[in-house]
Amino acid sequence: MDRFEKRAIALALSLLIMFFGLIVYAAKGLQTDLPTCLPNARLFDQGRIVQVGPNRYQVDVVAYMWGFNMGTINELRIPRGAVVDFYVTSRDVMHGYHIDKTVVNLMAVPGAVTYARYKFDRPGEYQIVCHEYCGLGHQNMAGKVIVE
Amino acid sequence: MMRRLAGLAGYLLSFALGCSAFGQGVPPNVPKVLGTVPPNVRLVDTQGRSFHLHDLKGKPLILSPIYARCPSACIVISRSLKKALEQLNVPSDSYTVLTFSFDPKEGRAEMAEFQRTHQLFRSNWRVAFVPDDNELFALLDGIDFRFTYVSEQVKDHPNLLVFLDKDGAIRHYEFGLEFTPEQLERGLRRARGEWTFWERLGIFSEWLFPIGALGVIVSGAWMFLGRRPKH
Repeated sequence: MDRFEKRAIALALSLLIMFFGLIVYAAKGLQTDLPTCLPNARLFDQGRIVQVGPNRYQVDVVAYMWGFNMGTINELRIPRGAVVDFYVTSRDVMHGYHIDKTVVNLMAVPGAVTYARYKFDRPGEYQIVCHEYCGLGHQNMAGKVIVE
Repeated sequence: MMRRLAGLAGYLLSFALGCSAFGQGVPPNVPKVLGTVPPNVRLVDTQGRSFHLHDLKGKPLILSPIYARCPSACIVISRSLKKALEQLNVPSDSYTVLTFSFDPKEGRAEMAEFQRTHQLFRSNWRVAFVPDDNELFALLDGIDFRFTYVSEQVKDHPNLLVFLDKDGAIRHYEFGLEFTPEQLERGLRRARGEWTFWERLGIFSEWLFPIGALGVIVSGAWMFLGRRPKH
């Protein structure tokens, strides 16, 4: 094997080990809350936002071609410091649900529910994008979380 | 014939109940909270007596989060807990059980009704609620218990018991709907710090996959890159 080929493979493997190590470190060392798939969760077909406690919210998100129903379409308003539980599903095809600048990065899968929790400490606008190609209108599938 | 049909109906109902309750809700991140001490929140029991969680330090504590209006799982959990406690081969004065409501809309009346309906009366069993919502969620965060709002009457939640040691630190979780005396014994044993050799070994089981995967990558790379061409 050519020595440059060996170096390329060694570099790729090093990066793979580093990548894998960082995931383990995030989960075990930093105790980061990883997004979860809830295979047995109760399904829903309507988006909504529910206040379940003091500054605690539950957002049921229904992704569809091409938007997010979160009680309101493509927009979510919450107060600063809110702890939000996101439950995400899809009405039609696979979509993505990523809130920029947060760890909320979920797949919206028909017939399944994915989950993530996030505390919005900083006020501002957080863009929501679909990061799974879902058809002709994919590029228009976006929303925002407004933290007041 | 009728008895058999009734038995079959009861079995199917129990199966459906079990299926509907198992696996619902978000499971706790157990490694994250093991060894931590939940906050010293104020609770009020069904007799109206106020106390703090840390007042129960000094002996192992079994926490059972439920909600009183639950139509299914919480009833099964509490009834099986009662039955298991009756069969438990551990002195009842050596531990405490605390059933509390995780629903901020429930108070003394709901919990008292639940206790009365299911006859949850034992000298070492307290049925209570947390009157302050902020403290309630602090306690729920402390044991990483997350419930899902379905409607005012229905909340999905993981079915579990939490075992705290005499210093109030979380030592063990038991999952399931119908708890057995063996599960309670295991939890209490771990809350007392008495782990068997195999249980201690099991602590490292969550690291087996990362270590194994890393080993596969490293050894594979060594074999692949270390191979010399034959001349």
